[in-house]
Amino acid sequence: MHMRRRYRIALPGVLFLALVVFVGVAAGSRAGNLLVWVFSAMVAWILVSGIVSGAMLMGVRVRRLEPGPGSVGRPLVIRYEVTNANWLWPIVDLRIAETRIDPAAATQSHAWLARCGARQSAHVEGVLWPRRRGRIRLESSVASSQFPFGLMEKSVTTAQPREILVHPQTVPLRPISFARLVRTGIGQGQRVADGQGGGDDFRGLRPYVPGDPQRHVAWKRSTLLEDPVVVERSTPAPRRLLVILDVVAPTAQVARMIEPGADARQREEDAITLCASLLSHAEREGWEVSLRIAGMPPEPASGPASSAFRRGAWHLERLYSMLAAIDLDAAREGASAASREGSTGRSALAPEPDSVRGAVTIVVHPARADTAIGGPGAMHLTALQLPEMRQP
Amino acid sequence: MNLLRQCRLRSLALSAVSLAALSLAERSMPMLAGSLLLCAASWYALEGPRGRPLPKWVAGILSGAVVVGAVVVGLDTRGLADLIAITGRALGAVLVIMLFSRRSTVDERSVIALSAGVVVASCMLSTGLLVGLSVAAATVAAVMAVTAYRLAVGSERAADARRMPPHALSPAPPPELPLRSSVSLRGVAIVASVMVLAVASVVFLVFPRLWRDPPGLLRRGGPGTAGFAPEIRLRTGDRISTSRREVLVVRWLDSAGQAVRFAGTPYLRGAVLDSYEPSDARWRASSVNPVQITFRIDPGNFSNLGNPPIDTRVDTWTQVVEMRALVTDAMFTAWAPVAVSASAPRTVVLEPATGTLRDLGADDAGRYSTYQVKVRPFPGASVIESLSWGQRPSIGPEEFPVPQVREEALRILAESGLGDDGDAAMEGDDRWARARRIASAFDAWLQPPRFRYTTDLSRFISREGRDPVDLFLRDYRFGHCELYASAMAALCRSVGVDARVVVGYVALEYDDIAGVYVVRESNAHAWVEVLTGPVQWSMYDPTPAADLIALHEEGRTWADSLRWLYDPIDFAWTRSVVAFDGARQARMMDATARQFSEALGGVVRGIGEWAQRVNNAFLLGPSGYIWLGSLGGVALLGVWTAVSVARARRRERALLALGPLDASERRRMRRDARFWVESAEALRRAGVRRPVHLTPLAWARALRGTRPELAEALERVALRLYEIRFAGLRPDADARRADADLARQLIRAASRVRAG
Repeated sequence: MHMRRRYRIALPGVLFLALVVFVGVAAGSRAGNLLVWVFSAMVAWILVSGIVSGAMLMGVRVRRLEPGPGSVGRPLVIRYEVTNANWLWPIVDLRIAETRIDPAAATQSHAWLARCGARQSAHVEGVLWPRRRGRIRLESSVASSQFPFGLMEKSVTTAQPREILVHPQTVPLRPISFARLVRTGIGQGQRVADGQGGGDDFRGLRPYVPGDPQRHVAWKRSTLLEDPVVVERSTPAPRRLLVILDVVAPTAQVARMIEPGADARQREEDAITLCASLLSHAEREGWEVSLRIAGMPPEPASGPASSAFRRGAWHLERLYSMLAAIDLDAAREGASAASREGSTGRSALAPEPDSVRGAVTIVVHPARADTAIGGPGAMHLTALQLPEMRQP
Repeated sequence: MNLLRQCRLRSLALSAVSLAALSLAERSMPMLAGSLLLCAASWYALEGPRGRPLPKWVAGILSGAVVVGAVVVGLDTRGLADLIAITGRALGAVLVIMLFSRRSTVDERSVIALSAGVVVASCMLSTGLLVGLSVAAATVAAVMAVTAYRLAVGSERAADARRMPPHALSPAPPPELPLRSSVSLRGVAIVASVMVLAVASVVFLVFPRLWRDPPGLLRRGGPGTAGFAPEIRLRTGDRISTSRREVLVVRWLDSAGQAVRFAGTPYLRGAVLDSYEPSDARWRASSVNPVQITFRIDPGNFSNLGNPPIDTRVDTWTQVVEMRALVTDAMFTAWAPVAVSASAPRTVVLEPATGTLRDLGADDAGRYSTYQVKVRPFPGASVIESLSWGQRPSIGPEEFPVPQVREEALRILAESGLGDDGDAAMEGDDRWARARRIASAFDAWLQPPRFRYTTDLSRFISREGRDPVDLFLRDYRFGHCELYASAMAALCRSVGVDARVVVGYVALEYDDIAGVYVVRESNAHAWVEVLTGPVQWSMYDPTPAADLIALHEEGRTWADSLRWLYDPIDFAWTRSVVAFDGARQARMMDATARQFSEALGGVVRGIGEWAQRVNNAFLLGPSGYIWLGSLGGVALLGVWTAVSVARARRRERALLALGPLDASERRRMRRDARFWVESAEALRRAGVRRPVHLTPLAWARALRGTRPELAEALERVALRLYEIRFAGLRPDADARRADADLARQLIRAASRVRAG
């Protein structure tokens, strides 16, 4: 971990130096030892400021703890572990910030540590508010302090290169809009599961096995059969939603499809936001969700399981990460190429029937709906519908 | 208590100390009490149950009014001291207004800056002990206030930074702002204060002092001067000091060594002023007769001041002086000093023309604190001749350089029936008789009710083209001893009688129990000496004696009973700090350098003697020194090796995480996992360092992207380390050799990286 220390005279320090010169001239020209004392005290302030802050920052070790993925518009807390290796002197009034963060990518709020005793560690939090989806590169963290007198700013820069993924923005959707949308889908996402499990649906009867709970015993049937039988339930089968993002058309082509003057890239981002919001809303309502991206090559990091229907925060994070990793400047897989791939890849235009059986399919387009994507029965939304689906 | 409140409290303390310093510099008890009350009231106004700051616009108007008022008053002020006083008062007033109107940390910054300004103004106004203590306290309070301010600013900025930006959808968690209990700054602030005081003391001692004036003379009557100054300025318009501070105590011993009391009032001469500058209305000592006789005083022995030596056994009293507040080179003696002694070796200068003594200092200390003088209260002509060392009195100008004074003198003489003496040019005894007649007439003329004594000269307004002496004689006819003495000396000179002004102290208070005269600051006085013989000067004091005694009595307070406690400290302060000038600084530096070189020489000598003793004990001969030197070198090498080994051990402990292991396991691990230490060291030299948050294996994998040439070898080495360190593998000698080979591959790759 490479560290670099820097000293910089702060503005109050410059003013203070000017005052010291003034008092020094007065003390030198006017007989009065108290004035000399004031001058001496001021010089001592400068020296002690340098000594104290130097001693303080000599022992500072700042380690950025692995930040998780962020989300556009949501605060991303970045934690730092500050260790004071100094044996005697505490760290006071320490400010930690990331260097070289693109202001267009994120707004930064520094972390602040009031005090960390000698040979102690402390955790502090800084906050990033990502402005756009994608990757943000964190190069190094700089810990600075103007303590004790604010005359000099001392800083220690610690190189800790790291990339963080920023998920697309999710907006709350109107429940009624979502309900109407999925009601029109085939089967409304409902399905029947085969396996035995702890669901609510009746699956069958089987002979009693010692250890079965008594409340599972079907008493009437047992009386008829003269042997105890128990009721088996099916596995839970939540409804399924497949969201397909259509980024087949390059941005330039999208620009031709939308009204003049509108921002095509923003429209694509809105489509991504709508996808993320649909996934978020559905997952919250108990749906199993899946995502496919039409027009993009498979993302190596996301893995093959990303397209499976699952529930839970972890799965949702994976789907968000797929959306976050979309590079809209990269070459798109055209519709013809995708058609040739058929239903084997995640960039497929039409989902394979087995895997999506019983699932509601929603295709989100940045501009114009392309019904070739998603197959029959799929519902098509455009990015323009985001405002009307959004909860006010 | 949150950080802002803590900052407020500390800056309030700083403000109170600063305002106290200003009040003490101004010597104003009402100002002190008022400012402290206002400070307390401001705290109640801000932090009380219905705390509310003064509106900003009200504070702005009040501050503006103060500044405008200060500028208007300042334009009408001549003296620098008054200008500084006005500036200090204005800063103090604005500071009090700010105390009532502060809201945020920015206001605290203004309060701290204003307090610093007030302290600087106080230092320029006075050098008194209490002011000095206040300034020292302000130095510490400023450290406390600024450290608290830094924390408060940091916390405020941290809270501000967490405000939601416009593009944000949800707020961030608020910062964890500490309470005062969790951020104890006391230790930090105390250490910083001690460091500031220590460094400031060093800077104070080495600061070059190139002043021409003695320290503490910015304001007359200040603590450094205690009412005495070797000159008189008639245009300053100050109220002279009425302080009850003890300047010195004098004990008079007769020939038998018994304490005695003077029948009259003893006058202690400090300086003789025989030259008047009408341009700035100033009396000063002329340099017409620069003859000076230097005496080296040995402790316990009296140095005779006469030439030929004066018999000090008859009609001689001993004056024992103990300084209490005044630090000066002037030595105060009654007329006529014939011998001088001191408790430490000193050098004293006698000016035969004036009969005054001056201290030139000593090698090891600053100004004197005690001395003894043998005095002939009623000296004969032979004694005066002896004291004059053959020097005749320097005759001043025949006419006083203000023509109006001569007109007034002639008019006075005419009214006194001495009109014939006005222009008479007489010789011999007639001349001295005329001088006595004229001096007596002028002395009588200046008495009440024609002239009125007062120390308040606020209505003694200077006029363009008029000399203060002329104004005193013809217009105002009120004033203090300096004006009385100046007027009489001027009148005498204007009619051809040689006269000079003498400044010093008059001893009015006798302590019956201790048997000493207590001379206070308010006893500073000026009188006149008139030449009434070839070398004989007669003393005349035109100041009404009753008024002098009344002035002395009116200032008597209960606090006088505590002065025995305060005054010695005050004197020590004045002697050590206020009077610390360039000469004393040079002496101190010389003494320090001498002591340092002696100490260094002592160490070198000690080592030499020790080496010689060892050499003699072992009968090594001259070559023994070579052996001893070699032994010393080996010892140094040993220390260096021990330090290096300790550092390497510490590095190993960190690299192999040996902390939780027992001693035998550590030894084993150092042997078996040595390859990892060597590899890490080689990579460190090649500029590839492991981030502390990455494990060795994660580091190796992280290097795949940036240093692929190292990553593979490093991964193998890291996996091997894991097996040995964490999986309990105990490699045999062959395995250790294989591990070493593995590490060597990595080291070679690292060397290539380093070279490339």
